[in-house]
Amino acid sequence: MYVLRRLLEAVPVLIAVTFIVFVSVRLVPGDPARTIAGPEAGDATVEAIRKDLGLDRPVLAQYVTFMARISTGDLGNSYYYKTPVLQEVLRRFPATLYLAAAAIVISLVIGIGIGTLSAVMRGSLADRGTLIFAIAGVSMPSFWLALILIIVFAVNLGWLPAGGYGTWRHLILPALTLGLFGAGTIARFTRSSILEVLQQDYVRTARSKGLRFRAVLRKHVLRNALIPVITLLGLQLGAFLSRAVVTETVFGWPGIARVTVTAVLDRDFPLIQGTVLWLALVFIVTNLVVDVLYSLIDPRIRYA
Amino acid sequence: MKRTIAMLVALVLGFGLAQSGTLRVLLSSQLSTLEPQNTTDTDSAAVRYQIYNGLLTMTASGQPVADLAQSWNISDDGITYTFTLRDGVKFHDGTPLNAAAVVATFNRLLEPDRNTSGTAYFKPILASVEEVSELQVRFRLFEPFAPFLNTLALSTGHIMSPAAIEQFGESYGEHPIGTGPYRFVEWVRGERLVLERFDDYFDGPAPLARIEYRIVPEASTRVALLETGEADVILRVSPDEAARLADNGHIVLETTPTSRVMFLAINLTRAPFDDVRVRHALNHAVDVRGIIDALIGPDVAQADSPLAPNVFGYASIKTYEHDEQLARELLAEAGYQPGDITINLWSPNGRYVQDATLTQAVAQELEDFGIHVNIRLFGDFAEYLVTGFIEDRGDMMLVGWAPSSLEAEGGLYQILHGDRAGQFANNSGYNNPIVNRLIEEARAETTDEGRIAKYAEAQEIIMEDAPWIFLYAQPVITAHASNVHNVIILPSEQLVLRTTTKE
Repeated sequence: MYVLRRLLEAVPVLIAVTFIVFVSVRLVPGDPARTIAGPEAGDATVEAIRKDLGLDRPVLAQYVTFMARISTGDLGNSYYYKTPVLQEVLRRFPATLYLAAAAIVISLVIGIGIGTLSAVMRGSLADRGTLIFAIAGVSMPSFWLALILIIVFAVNLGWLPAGGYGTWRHLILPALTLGLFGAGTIARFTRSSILEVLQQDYVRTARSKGLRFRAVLRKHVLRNALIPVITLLGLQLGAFLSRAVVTETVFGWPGIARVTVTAVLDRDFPLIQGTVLWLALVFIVTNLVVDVLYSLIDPRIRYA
Repeated sequence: MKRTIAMLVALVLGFGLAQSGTLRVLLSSQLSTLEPQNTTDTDSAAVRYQIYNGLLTMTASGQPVADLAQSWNISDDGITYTFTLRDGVKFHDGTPLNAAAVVATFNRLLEPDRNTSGTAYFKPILASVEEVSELQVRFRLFEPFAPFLNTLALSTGHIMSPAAIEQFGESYGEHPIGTGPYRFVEWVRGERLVLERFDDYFDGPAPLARIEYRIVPEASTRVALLETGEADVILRVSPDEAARLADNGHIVLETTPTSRVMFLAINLTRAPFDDVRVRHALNHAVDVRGIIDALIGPDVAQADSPLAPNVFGYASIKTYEHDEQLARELLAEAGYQPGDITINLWSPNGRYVQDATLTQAVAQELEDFGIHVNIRLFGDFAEYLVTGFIEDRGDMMLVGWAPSSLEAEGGLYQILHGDRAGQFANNSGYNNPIVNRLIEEARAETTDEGRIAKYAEAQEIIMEDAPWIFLYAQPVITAHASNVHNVIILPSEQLVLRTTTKE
């Protein structure tokens, strides 16, 4: 029931997204008809193409047509690929999902591991090292990190492919590029969250009744400390997607993030609208999943 | 034992699998479609040239020569072109190539409701196409258009299978059927595209068994993939990447001159740039030779014409030598000091090889001379097109123009004819009635000599009028593994792999 209500609530959000995207792509200077016609085409062709695409009509009229089509599941045809937008989106999304999933696993494992370590060893050299790692992870441009990984692991050592898609070996470098970014933030968040929980009375109680520190950490501290970390993960998805653009570009990864950016550069209106709408949907669903996960991890949280 | 282990290791790591017979080509951008009549991207042309043939094709030196057509005949009035087709040519789907196929291809292009990059070439000039006999086809033009053979040799004129047109309709681009040396096998969007040798190719089977294209947008990754042996051919390598690859014994770099002229269009509608003496002064104030040596290489010539040397109709007119003294005198004659002039200089960033660097170098030269320059860079070319060409043209804009038909009509009309003044892509707003007339008259000339003479006269006037700062014709650098041979790049920047081999 709760899930259904949340999904229904998403509908107005998605409609607002369609409107904002629809209008804003048309406000940016640039003429899709000219891009389609090519540089050597005369103005008559450009004008005819603009008419074919319906771009000569008022923006609001175009929007009404667009929404009428969407309700039948038709997102239009991509100007650039000349294929249905929904088909392009569904073709490209799995690669991004695959990359994001691997990156999330990497950032969770590294982030929680290091974060816990530095909380437990608070004030030590290792703790300070974590801080440096976290700052580096967040502030290193993905572009730079990706190129360094390629030069070290592909060109110099020859261990992994420099780019491409297909096997798990192709996945490692892009997933690391994306995952290390998330790991830094998660490590810092985990650390402060654990330190906070360690101050709680129930932790002192558990310790004073003679439980071993490891057991306390696992059963009492981590369970409580990780709830905010999971929220963070949901929110970070947006940052992941924007970083995925660069990662997919550098590694030649055939995902949807890159397609969105090239669609903007090509002024491929239907494709921009389709991908942004899809990514908004993914964002909403992910955050819903995170909220549901909450109640599983912490039985105190229940939704009416 | 040791060898077995070494082989196993090699297999696991993916080495040793370098299938000779499979050529791995890296492309930089997403392929749009493989339909010849509705696409403008260079990378999909790098695929289409292997799948399709036209009636004519271009040689590496830019001459239109017979391909599917065996011979042709042009009527004395220059209106009708009759082609005799090769006999025994088959499409990949088994359909025979005949006059009906040619008619179906061009009638599709001439459909009233079809408006594409392809129709833009043919609709204004081509009146009708008709079958004369099984292997003879006749094209009728609206009026004489001497560059018609070059136009037919464009990839837009590639011949499509009538059976496949019938079967696939508007999704032809996803099921491309041509007569070319390689046939389409598989296309995984955004990732790779596979072609396989077509054994019934009319010119005999191609040397390679397979071509695999992969899409890798980032230039440094393409270079890395070539270095690690994961790719065989990369296109449009920038000069600084080429420098990185130059010492690698396993990689060969090839530089090809293209038809793309680089120039800074001067906005003639504004003072003081409406004064020809000021424009001459600007040309003399910039050390173009020095910029070419520093950025592109000493082998590349400074522009001595608005056309590239490999374009039909090109004539060597003159270069503007670097001479600051002369530039100052010319400005003074026009009533200006360098410090009186401010130039809003616009440039794309990332569209042409080293475009922003080039613009900055020119700006530096002008600043040193005493002129104030404000640079505006456009990372987004779609924005540059509209802002620059339609809304407001700044004072100077960097443009690279590549006539894909490789002849002077394509190289002059759209950028220097008065019809186009103030529109895309005559962004100087250049309109000289004599030049206009010469370009028009050249279309109706029936002999090469006659056309060449008209174009030479036009180029002479344009060089004197100096609507641009003339720079150079852009070469392209291709890099490939040293065991790969015969990678052909046409002056129109197209990749042709018909005779490419791999040891």
